[in-house]
Amino acid sequence: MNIWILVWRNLLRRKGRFIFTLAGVGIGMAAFVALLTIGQGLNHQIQQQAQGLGANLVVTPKGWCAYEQISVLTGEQLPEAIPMKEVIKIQALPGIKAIPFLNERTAFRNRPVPVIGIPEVEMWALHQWSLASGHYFKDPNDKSVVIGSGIAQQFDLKPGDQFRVRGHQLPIIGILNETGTKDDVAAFLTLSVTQSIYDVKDMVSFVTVQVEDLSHLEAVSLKIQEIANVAVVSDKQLVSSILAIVGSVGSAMQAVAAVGILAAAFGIINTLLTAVYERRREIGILQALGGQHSTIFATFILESGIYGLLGGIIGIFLGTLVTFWFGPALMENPFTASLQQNPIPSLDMMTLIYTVLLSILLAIVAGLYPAYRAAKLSPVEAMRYA
Amino acid sequence: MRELLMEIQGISKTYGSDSNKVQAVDNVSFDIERGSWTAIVGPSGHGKSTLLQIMGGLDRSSAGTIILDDKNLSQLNNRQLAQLRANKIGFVFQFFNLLPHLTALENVVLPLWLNKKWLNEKRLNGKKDLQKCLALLERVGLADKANNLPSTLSGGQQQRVAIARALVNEPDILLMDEPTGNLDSVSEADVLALFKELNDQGSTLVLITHSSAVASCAEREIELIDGRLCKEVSA
Repeated sequence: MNIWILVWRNLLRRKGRFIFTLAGVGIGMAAFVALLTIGQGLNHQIQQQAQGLGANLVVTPKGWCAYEQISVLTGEQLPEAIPMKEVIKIQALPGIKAIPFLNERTAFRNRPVPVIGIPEVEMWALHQWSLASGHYFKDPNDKSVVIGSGIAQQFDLKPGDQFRVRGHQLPIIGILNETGTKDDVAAFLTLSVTQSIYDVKDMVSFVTVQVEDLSHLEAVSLKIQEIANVAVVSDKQLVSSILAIVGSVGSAMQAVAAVGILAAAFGIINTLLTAVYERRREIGILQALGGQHSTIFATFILESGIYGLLGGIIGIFLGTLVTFWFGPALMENPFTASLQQNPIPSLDMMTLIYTVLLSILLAIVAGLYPAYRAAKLSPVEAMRYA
Repeated sequence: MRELLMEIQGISKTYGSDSNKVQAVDNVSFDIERGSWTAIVGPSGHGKSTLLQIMGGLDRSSAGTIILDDKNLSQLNNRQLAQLRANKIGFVFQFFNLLPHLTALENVVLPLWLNKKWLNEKRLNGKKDLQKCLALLERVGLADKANNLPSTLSGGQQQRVAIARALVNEPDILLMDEPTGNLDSVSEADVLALFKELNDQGSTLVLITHSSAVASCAEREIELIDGRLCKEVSA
């Protein structure tokens, strides 16, 4: 005989009530696990996508941003481009991926079309492109064109057609799938071919810089300006907007999870208060036999803790099932639809451990009031009830 | 001359206040000697149970003192009273008050567990304690029912389990509130025989009864009328 036997027997006396209370706690914790893991998955995926959107920093010729405003008014040309030697310095920095490109324009069938010279391999990986038809550049000197889906649609172009750039007839070798970005309305050439056609050897228009750790964005920006004679535009604002959206989604999910948990906690309080009411006479008997108030208190707290422990374990199983069976479907919405990959729920061991600990803690807190009510009964008062 | 075990001095118990005041026990004084058998008799609602609860430290008196083993019960806090109940006092109730979800043996073990500080001594002294409890069940003639739940036992058997439970901590005094009040005549005779045996072996018994037959088994009768000690008769 020990306190665990007494507690366990007490719990199992009303099997139906025990099972339903446990189900309440389990479902509440399952909601917590499911929403938390789905939220974490979404967060993780969006952060990844934010990085995959392209550059975190754009390196421009010095004074370019301010000059652009003037050039719009005066019609002057953009300032000097960036020399490749500066690009090489930037590319040597650790923790970043720097991709230079040359931004030009051409007229195709009397309409202006942006022509972008790209380092073909890096750009393919950075923008996670895919081809709707045709094939991609074979080498940096490939004198051909890959066009965005919007251009293809606008001019009814397909692989094999010719595309005229500054007097040069170049074959279209591939058409990109729709990206929903400005890439859809541009024509892409390799960087060296573009430099050759536009006669701007060893010069690029911009350098896009992808920072591996977004928290280092500011430091990288400063470092680039320190080592090279260039200006840096940050998309920090975009990143913080995305993170703010993720934060809001996460908060909403946490709020829903909190409601589930609170409902479970009130379920425990209700069950234990009923148990205290039903067992008043037994509480009196225990006191008559020498039971301390602390012993009575402990039996109810342990009962409550067992609800928390078992409910937490059930919650993990149910929550994990819900997360992986229904999570992907739950995560499909207009916001996530814009992502390039389907978000997958993120479940880690610490989340599971914290869930069980939270469940136990919550149950114990929920059990405090019923346990206090039980412990404060006087033996005579308690035994008066038949 | 026997040793004085309990002194009851001027005990009063009042419920309510002012106009609703009820005097349940009124200035009652008497002594209990070790090894004695005292019956408290009187009509229902005249303060017998209240007096017994005060004597057992389950309730507190409004006035007066009870000394048990040199301890003044009115000066003890709730924790000390609980310890006193665990160590010095055994209770037997009219309705047995066994815990229905524990077996007969577990009901008998229960006070042993409660008497230990469970935080420090989570485990009982296993075999020894169980043997002691089984021996007690054997003493009350129920060794073969050790693993039965109370619901499968007769009233007399349940009361005998309750007596074994009251004895397990080897208390100085057994306080019994109408222990035969819910038994048939055969069970009553069995239980009375058990009381006689316990008393012969040195146990101090105090019981409340309505039955003059039961009261006559005791060596002393104390009659309470309107909460006052009205008559004291020694056999």
